[in-house]
Amino acid sequence: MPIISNRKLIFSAKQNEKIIKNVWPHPFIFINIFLLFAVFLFVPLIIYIFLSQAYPLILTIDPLRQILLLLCFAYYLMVLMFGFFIWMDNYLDFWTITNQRLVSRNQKGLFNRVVSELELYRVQDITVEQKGLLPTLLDYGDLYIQTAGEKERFVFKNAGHPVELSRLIQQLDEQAKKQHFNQAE
Amino acid sequence: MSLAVLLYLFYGLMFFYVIFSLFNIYHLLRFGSWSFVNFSVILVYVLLSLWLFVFSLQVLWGFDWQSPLFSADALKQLIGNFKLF
Repeated sequence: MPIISNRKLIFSAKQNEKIIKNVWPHPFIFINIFLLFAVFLFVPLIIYIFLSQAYPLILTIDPLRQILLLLCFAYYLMVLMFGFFIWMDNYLDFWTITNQRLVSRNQKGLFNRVVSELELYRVQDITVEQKGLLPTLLDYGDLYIQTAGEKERFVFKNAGHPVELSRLIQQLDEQAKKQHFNQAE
Repeated sequence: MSLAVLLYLFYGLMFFYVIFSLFNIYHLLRFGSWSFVNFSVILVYVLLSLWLFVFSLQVLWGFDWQSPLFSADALKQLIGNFKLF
């Protein structure tokens, strides 16, 4: 279980508010990133094998050899840098479910971050969408939450175990509604 | 123009890499969770980066970068040995 400070995830936590769960995209999404990264690592090796078979001279003439090595190192730097960036971009997209609200954080690039909040008592409808073979087998999918008065739906892409998650949100929603209407009366 | 121009461009890329990485690490630590996964990924990335920096510089510093960028000899050698048909 990750150690998370409330200050970092929820701005101005309300009275009696407790974090129930932090939800990240399914691990398969992260495995996909690593697989893609691994494929890109082999590209220079494939080019090297091709050149050594087809044009071996290129690898022996000195200025060309230097330039190719330089390009190879530059390529690895770029792959590592963008691989890490894609990891960061995906890892910082997560939901925090509390007993009163949902807080969604969506990192869009380096300097663009969207933090949305949704009071649980406003939830009207929860939809789970699992499309395709892999999402069905590995149990991940998109979760849509429709609220009263909101134009856009609250969306969580590639959430792990979306049905269980929707049940949890429904339970918390019922409790939050009771609490909210009792306070109103 | 010597080959050193390309080496300086590579140094420029390394500098950009460091700045970009620092921003990424800052974001992960400031806005992410303090979890084992997060710390492990950062650690692996830093170690891989250091290894790549040291290894690439070790290899690249072994060459003579003062030689000209466009070498007629190398071109002749290359074209002369190509058999198209």
